Amino acid sequence: MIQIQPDLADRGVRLSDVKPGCSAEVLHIDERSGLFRRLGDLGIRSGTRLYVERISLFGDPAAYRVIPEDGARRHTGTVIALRREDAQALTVRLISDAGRELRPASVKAEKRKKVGAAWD
Amino acid sequence: MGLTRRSSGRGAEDRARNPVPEGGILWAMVGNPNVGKSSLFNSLTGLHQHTGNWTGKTVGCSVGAVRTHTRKRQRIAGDGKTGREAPLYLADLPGCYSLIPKAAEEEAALRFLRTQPLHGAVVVCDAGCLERCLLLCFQLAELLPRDRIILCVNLIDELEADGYTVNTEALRKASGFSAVTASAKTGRGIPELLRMIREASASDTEPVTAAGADVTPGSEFAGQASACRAACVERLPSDSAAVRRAEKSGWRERLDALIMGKRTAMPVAAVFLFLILWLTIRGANIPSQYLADLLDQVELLLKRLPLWERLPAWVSGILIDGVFHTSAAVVSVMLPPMAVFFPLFTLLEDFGFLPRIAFNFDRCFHACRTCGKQALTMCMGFGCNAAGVTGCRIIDSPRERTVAVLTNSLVPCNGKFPTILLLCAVCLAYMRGDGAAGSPWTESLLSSLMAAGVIVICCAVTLGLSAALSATVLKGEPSSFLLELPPYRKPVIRQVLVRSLLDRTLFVLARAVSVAAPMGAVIWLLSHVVAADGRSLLEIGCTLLDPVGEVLCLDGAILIALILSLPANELTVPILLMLYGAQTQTVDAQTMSCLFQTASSSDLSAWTCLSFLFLFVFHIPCSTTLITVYRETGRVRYVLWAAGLPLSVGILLCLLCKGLSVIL
Repeated sequence: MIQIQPDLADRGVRLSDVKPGCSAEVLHIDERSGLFRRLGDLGIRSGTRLYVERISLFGDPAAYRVIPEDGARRHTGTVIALRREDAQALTVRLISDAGRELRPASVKAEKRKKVGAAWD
Repeated sequence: MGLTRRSSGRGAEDRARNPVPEGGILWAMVGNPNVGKSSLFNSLTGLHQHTGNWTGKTVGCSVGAVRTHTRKRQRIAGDGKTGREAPLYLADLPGCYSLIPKAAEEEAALRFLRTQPLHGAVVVCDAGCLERCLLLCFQLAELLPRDRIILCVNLIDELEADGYTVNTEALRKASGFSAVTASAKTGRGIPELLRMIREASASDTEPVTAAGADVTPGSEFAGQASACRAACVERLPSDSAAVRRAEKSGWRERLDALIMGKRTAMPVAAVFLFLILWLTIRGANIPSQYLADLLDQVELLLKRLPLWERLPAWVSGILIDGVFHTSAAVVSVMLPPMAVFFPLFTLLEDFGFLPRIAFNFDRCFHACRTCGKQALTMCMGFGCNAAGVTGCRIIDSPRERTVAVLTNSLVPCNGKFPTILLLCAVCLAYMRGDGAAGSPWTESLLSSLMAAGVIVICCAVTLGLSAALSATVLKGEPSSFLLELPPYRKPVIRQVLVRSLLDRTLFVLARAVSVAAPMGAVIWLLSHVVAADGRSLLEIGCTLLDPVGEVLCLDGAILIALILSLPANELTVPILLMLYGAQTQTVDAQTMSCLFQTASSSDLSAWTCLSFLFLFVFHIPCSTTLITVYRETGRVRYVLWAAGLPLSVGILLCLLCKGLSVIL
């Protein structure tokens, strides 16, 4: 289990900075973003937890899976792709353990997760 | 590739305007994109609305009557007092995330809801994303009375495979809407849904129109929706069969890692493209030959009919040498490749491959300052450019939509595919020199490689021109972009085969033949009406265009064939064969190259063949596409752009070929 330093965990980061294999909880969505309403329609709001599934071939966009509120691992559910600029509109807080239930942790994903916890 | 009679036929829009005859009951089907509305609609009405596993596939509203035999079953089940029921109609609306429209398709759905008198609406939900579907449902409840709304929780089998299920009674209590679980694929829950629709419309026969009322943004209902979901989604007992299956299946993750992985994505996409083309070429060659022979025989038989002796010679000329010959050529060239290509493409589409391609290549479109969904409309363009242009409605920003519309006909549609494959084979035959065939395996491998190369060039040109348009005429920055990646869904193979063969293949073929038949007559007339010096009009045209052809490394006949095939690209090769005076419909590579060598006056070479290939790929799109561009953009200016862009690319490439042929 990765321990995230408490001061870092509470301060918001931008969703675009979260590494694949990490989970994050949405703190705030910038209302000026062109996607503000669309994200709301998709049920993504403050408190929604997202799992960063992967980053595309050329580094952009990234795919985010909406973690169901009960936190269960499912194949169904919403997966959306957002470009870097759009993902910057979401302020999130890293959460350490939600991803574990969601995805069979391969060695590689574990490794990524450790790197992801220490963003710059 | 929403390519059916209904989506691109002439009457498609009229039907939506006045959908239901007097006395009919009309229900609308509303729901988020890609929750299986179209599948459900098909299983209720038997209509062949095309389905696919990606967001925004349905772009227009289509209305269909609920099938009679289902109605009969209904009559026995209940409501015996009337004996005869009013016919029930369903409207399949384009998917929308919200009733405050942002995209063109959402506007279309809302316009339908606000203008049509409805007896009610079925909100189709994806069981796996119940919460956000409920947001839409609560919005709809502001427009329609609650008892007129039925929640249909579709794709319940997917959720059950994950070990969960939905309790409809709890859902009804929590949300206040009557609810039913269903699976369009297996037919589960559909009689139940029909019964509920019947009950709801029997109690109150007056239709309501959802005009006037304002709609609250969906996010306002978030609390309510999540409470409803929490109340009704239940875990299945862990020893049930569905759960045991779910534990084992990690294939979706593995497949995602393969298709969208950093190292594997490119090779996988390349291999897929190559495989599809190769299967199409290999699979089509043999039946194409048989079909051509068969149609040759039919033509001979037709010519022997005693009927012609009593009629003037030009009648049989027009009907057999003109109409029948051209149509037969179109059928034998087009049918086999389409019969292989369409099912393969439909399989990929239903499986959920297309959005992942868009995800992989979005960076390229981003760099061109356009929308990543353009990758989807390009894929639709491979089916039919007209359908691709209509499909551009999935792009929200008007600027990006126009870029996608204008560049859509730069990718070859299926009408061009058989000819491209053929020309690739001819080119290869030339490059080998003597025209002798190698083994069929190497032959087909090489020509599919070359065809794949042509497609890559098309994609590169599309990207380049999109970037150029974004930098000049349609200046602007890329807008925000959100793409949904749906879960993989196993396609129903039998349904795919039937639907793609019957609906797409026969539809496209019928359209091609309906254009080819009159064109055949016109061409026969052109080639038999003789001017004063004894030459036919066509010959005069060829001679006139020969100098132009010379510059482009072509000849006049090829240019005439390209011009005359404006109604349908499939016509080019049949017309060319006719111009070169061939007596057969057999159009394999050898025949073509022999024809090129013998029948033409100018000195044809591999370069000619190559520039023919380029000009064929990049020339004025077919008339249907141009009309669709006008309908979608409403400006003649854009139609001219859509025609001019590919043509100028083609001419440039031809000039390049000419230059290279002079230098080398």
